[in-house]
Parts: sequence; C-alpha cells; structure tokens
Amino acid sequence: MADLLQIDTVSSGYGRTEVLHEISMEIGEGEITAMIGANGAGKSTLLNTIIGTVTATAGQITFKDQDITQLGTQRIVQQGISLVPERRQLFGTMTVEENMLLGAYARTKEQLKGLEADLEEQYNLFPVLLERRRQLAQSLSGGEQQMLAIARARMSHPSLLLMDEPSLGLAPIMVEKILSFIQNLRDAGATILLVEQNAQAALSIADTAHVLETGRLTVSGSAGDLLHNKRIQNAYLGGEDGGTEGLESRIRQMANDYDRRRSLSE
Amino acid sequence: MRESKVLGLSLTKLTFLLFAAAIIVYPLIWTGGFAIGAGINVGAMAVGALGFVLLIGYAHQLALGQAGFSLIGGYCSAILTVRYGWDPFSALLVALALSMTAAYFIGLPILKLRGFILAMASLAFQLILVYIALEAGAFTGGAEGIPGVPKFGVFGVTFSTDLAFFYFTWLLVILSIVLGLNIDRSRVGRSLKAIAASETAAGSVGIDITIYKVQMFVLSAGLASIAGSLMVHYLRIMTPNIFGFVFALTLITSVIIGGLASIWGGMIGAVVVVVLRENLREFEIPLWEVVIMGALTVIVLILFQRGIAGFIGDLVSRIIPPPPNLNDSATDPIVAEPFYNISSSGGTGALLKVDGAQKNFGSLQAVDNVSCEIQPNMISALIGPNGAGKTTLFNLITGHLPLNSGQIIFDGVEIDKMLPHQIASIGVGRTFQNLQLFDNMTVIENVMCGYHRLAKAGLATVSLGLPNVVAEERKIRDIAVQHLAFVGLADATEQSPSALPFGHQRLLEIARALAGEPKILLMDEPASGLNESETEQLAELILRIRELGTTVLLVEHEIRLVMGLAEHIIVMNHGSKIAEGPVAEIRADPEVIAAYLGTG
Repeated sequence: MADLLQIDTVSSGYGRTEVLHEISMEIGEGEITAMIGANGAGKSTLLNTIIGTVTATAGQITFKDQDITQLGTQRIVQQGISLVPERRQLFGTMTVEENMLLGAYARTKEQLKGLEADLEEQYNLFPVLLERRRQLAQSLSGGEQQMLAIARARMSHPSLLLMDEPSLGLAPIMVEKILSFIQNLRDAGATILLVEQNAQAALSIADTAHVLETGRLTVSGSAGDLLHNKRIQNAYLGGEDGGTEGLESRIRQMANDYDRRRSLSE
Repeated sequence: MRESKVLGLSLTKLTFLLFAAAIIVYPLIWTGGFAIGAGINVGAMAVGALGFVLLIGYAHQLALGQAGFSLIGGYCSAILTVRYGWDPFSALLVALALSMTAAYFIGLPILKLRGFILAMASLAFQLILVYIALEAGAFTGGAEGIPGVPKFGVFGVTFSTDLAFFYFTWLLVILSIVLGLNIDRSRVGRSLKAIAASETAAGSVGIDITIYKVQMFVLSAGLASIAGSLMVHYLRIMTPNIFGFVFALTLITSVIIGGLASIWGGMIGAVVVVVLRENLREFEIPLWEVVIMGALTVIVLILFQRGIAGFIGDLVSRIIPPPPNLNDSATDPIVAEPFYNISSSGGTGALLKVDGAQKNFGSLQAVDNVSCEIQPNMISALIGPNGAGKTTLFNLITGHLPLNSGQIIFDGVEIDKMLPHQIASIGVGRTFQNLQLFDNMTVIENVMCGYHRLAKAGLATVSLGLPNVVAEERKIRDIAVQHLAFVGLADATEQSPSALPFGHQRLLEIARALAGEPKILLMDEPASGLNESETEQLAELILRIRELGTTVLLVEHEIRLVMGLAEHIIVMNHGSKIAEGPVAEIRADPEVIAAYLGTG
C-alpha cells in the first residue's frame, strides 16, 4: 500500500538533549503501525515530533507528499493528523460533548458544516459517550475517558491517527475492548500509529511494527515477525513462552523463593 | 550539603564574607547622608522582602498583603516611642510580638483560601488597616500621622549618626538571611517546598500543611513588622500611606525582580528597586518612574524567570561547577539488605480493618458498604474495573476523602476522622497513580521529605541552626541515600526528579514512601507505564519491601503482577466488594471474569 507518512532521518529532542537520532520509517495507508520500546526510548517524543509540539532538529517528515516538518501543530492537525495523547489529557471540567467539539477546533469553516453528523458518527462508535454527553469528562471511568480521547481526536477528520499508550491504566477487560475498537477503526479504513508499552497487545493487532531503543529504530518488520523474534520476546514480551504466563510465573517463582527464605529464617 | 569550594571556603561562606565587606565599605565610599539614608531604606525593605520570599517563593502562599504588618509595626513603634517615650529597640520588639500574634489569628482563617482569592483577601486586609489608621485619628493621628519619631537606639543608647543606624539595619538583614538560609537547608524548608509542589503528596509523608503555612505567615509578618519599625525611625514620621498599596507593590516587585525562590532574592531586589527609584526621581514627571519600573519588571521576568538571584546562581554554577556526584556516605551503592525493620504489632489480627465504608459523590455510590481486612506482613491487592471505586477506597483510608459512614481502623487506631498527615504519621505510606513528586527539589531531597514523620527539628531550632539540627540533617541524608540504594537509584541523588525516566520516577516515589518506614504501604497502580522487565523488577522490590516488615496493599491492573505476587486479593465492581480470597479462587470466580478479567 502507499505510504501516508514518511519520516526521513529525523532527529529531535528537548532543549540541548537529543532524544531521537536519525529515525527513518514509513507508515502505510490503512495499516496499524506499532511502535514498542522501553520507558524513555523516545516513543512519545516521536509522536510529538510528528504532530509538531516538538520540532525536528534534522531530517524531514512528509505527509501526503507534503513536507510538514516545520509546520505548527494546528496546521498539521488541519492537514489530517491527530493525536490521542498519553494519559488522555481530556478537558476534565468540560462535558463529553464539549471535549468532542474542541476536537474539531482546527477545522476550517468549510469543514465545520458536517459537525452534527460527525458527532453522530462518534456516538455510534462509542454509544456510552452518547449516554454521558452532558457529563463532565473527569467523571468518566478510565476506559470511557480513553474512548472520549479517541472520539475527540477523530473529530478533526484525521487520515492518520497517532495513539500514545491507549491501554495505560486500564483494566484487562477494558484493554481488550479498546484494542478491538482500534482494530475496527483500521478495518473501516483508518491509518494508525500505535505507541504501546504493552507490546503483546500492540503486536497482536498491528500490521507493521518497529522497536525504538534509546532513540534509534533497532528492529522493524511485520508484527507477526516481531512476535516470533527471539530478542523481542525476551526484551519486550516476557520470554519465549509468551507474555501472559511467562511474566506471571516468573513473578510467582520469585515470590515463592522469598517465601521459602522467610520461613527458613523463622 | 554538597557545595563547591573556592579558596578553601564554601560558596556560602564566601558569599557572606563578600556581603559583609560590601556593607562595611558602602558608607565609606558613598559618605553623603542621602546615600546612607537610601542604604537604611534598602535594608528595611530587604528584611520585609525576605518574608515574601519565604511565604510566596517557598510555601507558594500568595498572601500579598503582608505589608499590613509593616503598618502595625510602624504604628506600634511610633506610638510607643513618641507618646510613651519608649526605647526604640524595645518598641520594635513589642511591635514584633504584636504583629506576630495578630498574624497567627489572621493567618488561621485566611490561609484556608488559595491562589488569587488569598491574594485579594490579604491585600484587602492591608487596605482595611490603612483605612482604619486614617479614621482612628485620636490614636493614629489620622492622615497627618505621628510626626517627631525619634532616632533609633538600643536600650537607651541613641544612634546619633545615621551611620550607626545603617550598620544596625544591615546587621538585621544579615541575621534574617542567616535565618532564611537555615530554614532553606532544613526539614522546614523542604516541607515548605513540598507543600508548594503538591499538598497531597506533602500530606502523604506526614507534613502538617496548616501548621507550616501559618508558621511562615507569622514569620513573614514578623519580618514585615521589623521593616515597618525601621522605616518609621528612618523617616522620623508615621503616616498610613507609607505602608499603603504602593509599598506592598514595591515589596512584591523587589521580590520578583530579585528572585522569589532565593533567600538572597529579596535583598537583591530591594537594592535594585530602591537604587532605580532614587535615580528615576530625577525625571520631573512622576509617571516615568512607574512606567520604567513596570517595563523593567517585565523585562527581568522574561529574561530571568527565577529573578536576578536565579541568574547569578546559574552563572556561578557555570563558572564554578558543583563537585561531581559522589556517594560521600559510607554506604555501599547497591545495598539490598533490609535496613529498617517493622516489628509486627500485636502479632495476630488485621493491621487494617475497613468496616462498612460508604462514600457517595452526589447520587453516585463510589464505595458502597465495603468491609475488608488486611493482614500484617502480607501482600494484598485490590483489583476491579476502571471506576470500581478502588482509588476512592485508597483515599478514604489515607484520609484524603471523608467517609459518609463506616469505620477504618489501622493498627488499633480509628483513623477515619483523621487528616492525611496524621494518618501518614502513624505509619501509613502511599504512592500515587499519577506521580506526585516534588519537582522543585532534588531526588535525594524528595526522599528526605519522606522521613518527615520520624524527624524532630522544628522552625525554632532550625532557625537557630542548633548542632542537633545539623546532626539530624546529616542522619536524614544518610538514610535517604540508603533508601535510594534500596530501590536502585543511588546514582541519581542530585538530579531533578523530572529528568529521570518514568520508571525511575516511580521508584523514587516508592523510596520517598519507604523513608517514613511505613507499617503499611498503599501503592496505586505502581506498574502502570512500566514495561515487562521493569514490572518484574518492581515485583522483586515489593517482595523486598515486605521483608522489611512493611505490609503492602496494591491497586493494580497489571494482572500478571497481581496474580504472581498477591497473597490475598479483593475485587471491587461498581463500588462494592464482589469477591475476596487467594489467587486461584479469584481467577476461577465467574463474576470476576465477567466484570474484570475477561476471557483473554
């Protein structure tokens, strides 16, 4: 498929600290691209650089064949990129609907015409938001807040949706729900760049995936390849025997060792 | 305290030497009466401005009307010396006592207000005092004021020359700066900064927010009062307008230009503002003075956001870089051994008992008749869907929210009517879902704050810099180093918390909570935002925390951590407890699967 976004040897950071070093990657249209990596690897910085809240210090970002590297965030949003920020960043003291309307803030007068229909579309996608449309955003549960953050981002008609840790702080059952929402969005034609700490979850729904380590892309490939990559399994998926059981059993083993030591000392 | 040395002297000592030399030399160079008078004026302002630094810069309490206490001090000095013939220094001391007493009773109610409302209320207080002074003519002399205030003197010895008064004033400036620096480098200073950064987190380590705010309010009122008394003896007259709105504004401007966050800032700002003002007087049109002062304030704020003192501080640390970050204490950098030990109290029975806890937000029952028991020296976990009421229950236990009904008993004490800092001070530690670190302090100072409930030094002993305070400081620092080593952050002591990667910030919060040697540690989603290997390290850390004798209660969504670690699990949904028991039971519970675990 055609590449919607191209990142060409982009470096970026905060003040004098460079966080990203010469990143190059493409995002294919209609795909979920996953970006996994440890804390501080630069995943959020990458999203912030694409959306323009952090400006690249070198390299070029091309979106729909247009150079957007130096554009301001508002212009980038108008071009069709939208961010679902880490920890949702909702306007807590505004209602659900006001939050969604603010998502359409950057739209031009022309684009504003279909506003009602767009609200309708989000409510169809997330019926719980319709129920809560007059409630304050801060009164929603974590999962509902995440849905609202996605709905708000979609209100600017993005052709590329950037998602920063959508599973963060959510109950397992809610993580499943959000992941299947994201899949549904892709199946309906959306292009998504998904940044996740929860590598297992991200790789399970992604098409393409990249690993970011201390500001550099170290592994890229199809999500399936990464799932079976030994090094990735050990570093990010909790060992060979797959994520869920692996980490839990290792922790239980550790707990048992501590228990044994405790009973010996008594 | 790690400090650079120049010519064998610590930076602070060197600064003081230069400062004292400048004070001695100034009147020898500028011998004119005008220059010495201006010097006295600056000195008085510097004392008052320090009060603003402590109250606004350190404790972030925007009480802008502290100049009202200069008015009280000024009148007290003027009335006692003119009408009753008192010795000026004795009058100053009585004025000081009166102002501080008044400040205590005004501070208690007014400090319940926050931000701009506090600013408005305290300014209103000052303006009311000005109007009272104008109206109470028989007592205050009305608008004409009280003329004929005598020259300053100490216990019958009148300062016949302005030079003596100049040196006396600046002696007070030096003393007040010493006091300020003593506070800055102490448990009290840290507590003030902690309150400024996050009142919630400050309460969670046992810092009594109200007491510290009121103490700083009273102290800054005292400094303002001294400034008032000195000004009156310099001007030789007391009128209400001397300490009106313009005076308050001048003080605030001084502090902002000089640097709100530095003990030296008030003094530096007072020098700059008075020197400028006196020179600008040469303009015939008084408006220019205001315009230029205003423009200057804006320029300074844009160029140096931490004021001139902050700028100088940066400059000095660039020229004389601080010594490298070495572990100066004898501690091994990777201590993993237990270093405190909680003896389980009573042995049998629950450490924490929640009985019929009820919390409503309007019509929403966030916590609905929940009862549970946490056994000592175990790892328990509280799980449930988002919005189930887990964090609310945490907040009920830690006193951040009041119960509607029910009872919470910790270690035999009923805690449900206690304030957060009281609950923290009997051994309930906590970490936060959204990190609440004190970003205005270094990593090690954050942990030192955690030791608060076990330390003793108070404002009085700290101000005097007594030897036992110094010894306690050293001990707290050593303990903090150990705790940082325990969580694996021994190398980060002098960094800013915000410079740490997210996972390390979580560890820092844990170290801060452990420094208070809690009997129970409540951890709100400690694995949130951590990757697999970090989660595994966290699991081991939690096991080591239990080895210290600390009981652990987790709220956590990382189900692998909960299932691998917890000895007892409580499940909540829609505010109610739906299940409780060991891992195997919970995992098989159909209601828990439907509400929370899902089938994945």
